[in-house]
Amino acid sequence: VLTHKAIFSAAEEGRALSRPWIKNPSVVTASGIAVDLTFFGRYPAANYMTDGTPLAAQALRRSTHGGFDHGENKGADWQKLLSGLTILSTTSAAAPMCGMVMDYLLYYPLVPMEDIQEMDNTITLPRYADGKGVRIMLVEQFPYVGGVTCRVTYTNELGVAGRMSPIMTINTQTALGTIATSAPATAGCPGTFVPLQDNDGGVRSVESIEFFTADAGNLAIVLVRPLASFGTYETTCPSEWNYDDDLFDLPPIIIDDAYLSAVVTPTGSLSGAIIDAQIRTKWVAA
Amino acid sequence: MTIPTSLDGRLSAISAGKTFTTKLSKQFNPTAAAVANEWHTLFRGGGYPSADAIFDTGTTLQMQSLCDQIASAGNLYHGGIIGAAGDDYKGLEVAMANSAAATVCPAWLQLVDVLAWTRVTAIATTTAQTIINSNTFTASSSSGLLLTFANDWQSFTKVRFTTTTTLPTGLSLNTDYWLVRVSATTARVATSLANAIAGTVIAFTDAGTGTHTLTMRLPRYSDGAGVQAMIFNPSSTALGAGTPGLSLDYTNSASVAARATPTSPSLPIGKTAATNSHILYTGATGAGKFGPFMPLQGADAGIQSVQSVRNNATYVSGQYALALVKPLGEAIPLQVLGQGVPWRFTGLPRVYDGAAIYGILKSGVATPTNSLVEVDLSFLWA
Repeated sequence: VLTHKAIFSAAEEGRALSRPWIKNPSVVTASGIAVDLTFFGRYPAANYMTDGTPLAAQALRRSTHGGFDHGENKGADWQKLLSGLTILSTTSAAAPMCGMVMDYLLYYPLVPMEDIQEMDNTITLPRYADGKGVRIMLVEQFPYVGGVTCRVTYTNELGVAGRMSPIMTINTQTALGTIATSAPATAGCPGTFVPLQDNDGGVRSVESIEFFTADAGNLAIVLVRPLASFGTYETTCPSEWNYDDDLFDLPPIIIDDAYLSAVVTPTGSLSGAIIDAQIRTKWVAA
Repeated sequence: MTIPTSLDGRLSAISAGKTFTTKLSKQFNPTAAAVANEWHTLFRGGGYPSADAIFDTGTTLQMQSLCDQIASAGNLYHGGIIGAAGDDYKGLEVAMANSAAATVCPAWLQLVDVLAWTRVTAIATTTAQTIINSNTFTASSSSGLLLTFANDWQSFTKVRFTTTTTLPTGLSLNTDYWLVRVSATTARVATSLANAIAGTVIAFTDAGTGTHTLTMRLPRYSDGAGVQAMIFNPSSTALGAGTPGLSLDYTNSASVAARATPTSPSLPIGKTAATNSHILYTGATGAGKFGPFMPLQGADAGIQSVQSVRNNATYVSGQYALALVKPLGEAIPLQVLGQGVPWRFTGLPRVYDGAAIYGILKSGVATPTNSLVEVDLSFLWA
């Protein structure tokens, strides 16, 4: 049974780890439009999610792809927790800024933005296999014009196929890593995640995406499991987030071999910004 | 039922995977810019959950039950039914809210569980209009006990039965049941929400004798404790001109009937030409402005049922909706554009199985159409 005592004992007993991550976006972003930091260097290296055959699912794992380092796998006897995050940036567009650490599970690369594109689901979710709590992001891989509409068809967490998102509008932010459905005040732009059909609690796989008007560019369709929220407040001091001591949040469980990364929503351009952070993990008896 | 009030209790729930994290991502006021300090529902805006298509539908003045199983209701999935009998305790743990849309902030966001609603289309009527909370019915056999009545009741409506003589076999007085809708005038009956969802219904034995009546109960917080009322424009068409005083005749959570909206200092007064999603009597200036919820009489702690609703002057056109809601936790302040606001809710507000969770929002400044508000939410249960 997980207890407060067990969490605090973990650090004393050496079962705690702190690891840095630094991201340096290289494109012009805009206020209120979410950006996937996975697509930018420095540490860990950028992952453009172009590996593999277009439209064919590719699983993401720490052991093969990297992501924010959270330490070695702990095995079935232990439960690894995301216990905290510290983040700082001296770039004004990065404060205030909010974001979310997520377990990136799988992506479909290089999706053309025209007609109906059918996905290949030979490879399935590597974690959260039933899809409960898993959400869909559309991430810009190569610049588009934007303003077109699309709809995603998916299998939900109960295994029901043919579930459909509402028709969404793609934003006009032509920058790598932009979340294509994110815009602060554009009708039909629903935010960071693709809205699910009524009563659905997650996504097991994406079947297809239909574009009602053709556009240039490519998207990656990414399946993620949200873990923890964070934010920045000042350019003059770091922001501290504790997830395990009742100050703010729950300590999310990190499944072995999880590929961690984050999406942020800035208040201006992050081009050239250094976003410097540490994540902290602990592991306790399962 | 275990209420995980201790931190260790909550950690145990998390460790056992009894947690669900999601993001509510809604666009504000889809058809017109708001005015500073008005409250608006986020029901009809785009985003996730998708826009509702329900609050401007249905028979006028018929109170309708709402739960998260109703397609087109556009409420938030919060982890599903957690106990076969619905007897585990699910709570709303933490949130992180923000808006990066220009001129939304400062704002306040309140989460609500919408329990029931009705719409009022006869807005030129200035006398009290009676709310339909019950129907007489007859019983017959069709793949189980089938009730036939006058009005169209939503699936999963919680009801109780009364009769002048003897109820059909399988139904008892002073007992909760749930309807499983078959058609606009018929439904079968289940003994629990879980059974209703599963389609497990009461078998037909006989039709009973005498005149039977079904009466709708609030699907959650059935005694009315903490239940509030709000009146809003549910339609994309703005209301016409008019500034009526708005009032309710209701039964409070202590089952005392004939309670009334206070007239002092003023009845809540609806805004002229109120736009889509506007909670009619909210705003910064003018008489009869209140927060999002209708004032209650005296020391009343909630509304069990509403008997009538009145607008004491006409609206020229349009319709309004009356919803009974349970606020979930505190309102979350959004102070600075783009700044995430972490929020730990006091006392782990309970989220019942079937809860229909939505947001309502007050912007401190004029808000452009389709402004996006995003809220990360974590639930846990034990």
